[in-house]
Amino acid sequence: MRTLRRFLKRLGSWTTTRRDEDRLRSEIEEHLALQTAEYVQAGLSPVEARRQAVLKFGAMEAIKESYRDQRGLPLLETLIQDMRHALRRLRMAPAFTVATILTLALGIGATTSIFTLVHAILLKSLPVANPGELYRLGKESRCCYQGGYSQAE
Amino acid sequence: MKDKTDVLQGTLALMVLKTLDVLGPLHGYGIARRIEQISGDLLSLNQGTLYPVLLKLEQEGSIASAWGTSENNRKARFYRLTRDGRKQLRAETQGWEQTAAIIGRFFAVKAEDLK
Repeated sequence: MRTLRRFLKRLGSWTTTRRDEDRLRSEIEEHLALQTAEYVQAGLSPVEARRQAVLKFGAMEAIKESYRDQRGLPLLETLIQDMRHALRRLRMAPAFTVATILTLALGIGATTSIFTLVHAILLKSLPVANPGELYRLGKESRCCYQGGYSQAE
Repeated sequence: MKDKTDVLQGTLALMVLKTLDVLGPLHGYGIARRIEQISGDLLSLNQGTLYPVLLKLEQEGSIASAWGTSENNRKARFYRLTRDGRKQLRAETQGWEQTAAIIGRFFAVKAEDLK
């Protein structure tokens, strides 16, 4: 349940990216200001206090990065980005795009129609109730009716 | 000076929940300071790592946050425990105590006890 709720929140997060980014920035700013104030009270110079506060906070960019990773769904976001990039590139090379699309269309079309034919002729079971009970009598091709098969009595 | 221990994976969330449970709404810095104080400054906490944890807890609905004004009159984000969070805290406290009790028994055991 909690996981689901979290997933939904993350799914919807792209609508609030800008606001979330602002929020993280002001939260960190506030954090550093409070820590600096405390160090100043403890007797450090303002510059040194600020430096210590930043040190204590830890690897700023790494933390921001992990915050962003947790906010959205990076996998989905990169996928969408890649798709958009691909589409953009395709639009920049129309000749290539048309050639590719035609090749794919013809290829898929030809394969499909041939398979349809093979399926109808070779693979579909015969139009009788129990195809497994059919017997072939004799080995000459003129022995039987309808392509070499006759119904067992 | 004694070395500071790193925060065990997954326990930071529990510490946050408990801190908010005891002290009521707090901003991120407040939570970080309390955790350090309560641990007797034995814990080396990169304060920044708290924020991803807070985000996760908020996404899960265990805590909620709202803008408020901090003691030095700045805009700050205040976090508070929700009802779900309280429930989660109870469950996790129980789980943690159980684990600690089990490990405690392993430390207490002597060879003659098992004969």
